[in-house]
Amino acid sequence: MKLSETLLESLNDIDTVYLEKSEKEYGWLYRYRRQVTAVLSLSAVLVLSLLILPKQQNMSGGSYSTAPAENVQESMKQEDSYDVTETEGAAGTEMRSYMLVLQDENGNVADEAIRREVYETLKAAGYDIYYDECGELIVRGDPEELKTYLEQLKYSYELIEQ
Amino acid sequence: MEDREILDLYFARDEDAIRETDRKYGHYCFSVAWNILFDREDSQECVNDTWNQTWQLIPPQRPNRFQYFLAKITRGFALNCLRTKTREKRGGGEYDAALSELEAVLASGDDPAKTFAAKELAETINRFLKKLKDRDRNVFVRRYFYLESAAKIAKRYDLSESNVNVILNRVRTQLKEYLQKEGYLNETE
Repeated sequence: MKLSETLLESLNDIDTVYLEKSEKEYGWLYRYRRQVTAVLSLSAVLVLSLLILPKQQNMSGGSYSTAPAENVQESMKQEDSYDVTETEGAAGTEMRSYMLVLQDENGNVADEAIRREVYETLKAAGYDIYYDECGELIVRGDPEELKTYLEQLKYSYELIEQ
Repeated sequence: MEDREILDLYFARDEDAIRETDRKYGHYCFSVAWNILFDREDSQECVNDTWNQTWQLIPPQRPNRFQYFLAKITRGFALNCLRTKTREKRGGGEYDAALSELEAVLASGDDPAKTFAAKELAETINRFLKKLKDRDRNVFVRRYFYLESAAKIAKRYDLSESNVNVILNRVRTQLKEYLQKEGYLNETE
């Protein structure tokens, strides 16, 4: 008997589990499984991008201003023990405190969402920034560096020295 | 009626067991035989033989998957029936088509000096099937156990007929490589 004939005959002894599984009829979901999987994967990537990328962009604030980014660790450590009388940074630059007043695209005083966004951005870039007891944004840094950095944000601003 | 209840009838030696089996699985077993024989009378005869054989085997056996237990018996009778026919008289059945497909890749195993035990080969095939992806394995099983046409398989799994043929072609190639590794085929082929 030829091998092919023996093989066809031998299939009589295959595991019945395989016979049972083969009875299942697949519908459109199975047919389009790859497409569905691809769409779901793409959606997951997009959601993750929306959640993670903005933060990563902020974390890479060095692209705007490298000096503060280099001092991120230092600034984070200093945050709790911040001394408002200090006027010179670690790199010898002039460090001052400013009230940051922001305006939206229409020239109106920025709402809290915008203020929070800028706060997070500057914080991520390594600046010392906090809300004071009156709820005003206070940022500390070299004025020239601060201005250079703030110019790149989309909001109008005013720095009022404290 | 549940399979468990039908099996209880066999164990009680109640002849309703055969009636209930025929009612539940008659059409299924007929289609298993029909795919091989393409002959209504022969197929029905195989189904009747299946009921007789089942009556002999149960008890003592109590199959876990009654439907596939019956399918294997029917398929065995159908293959035997086919062998008793002349090759000229076969014509048109899926058996010959399936055989040709397999011969195309397994020709190097047709050494007259070699004989292969179907049982031993079945174990090898089981190991091979285990390695396959679900869809590929299902298509293979429908084609070479049930001897269904590519068109019928395509309809069952909502695939195109050409897709089924591509899957079968790929699995046959994998099978050839596997059988070469297992020593059933010459490596040079």
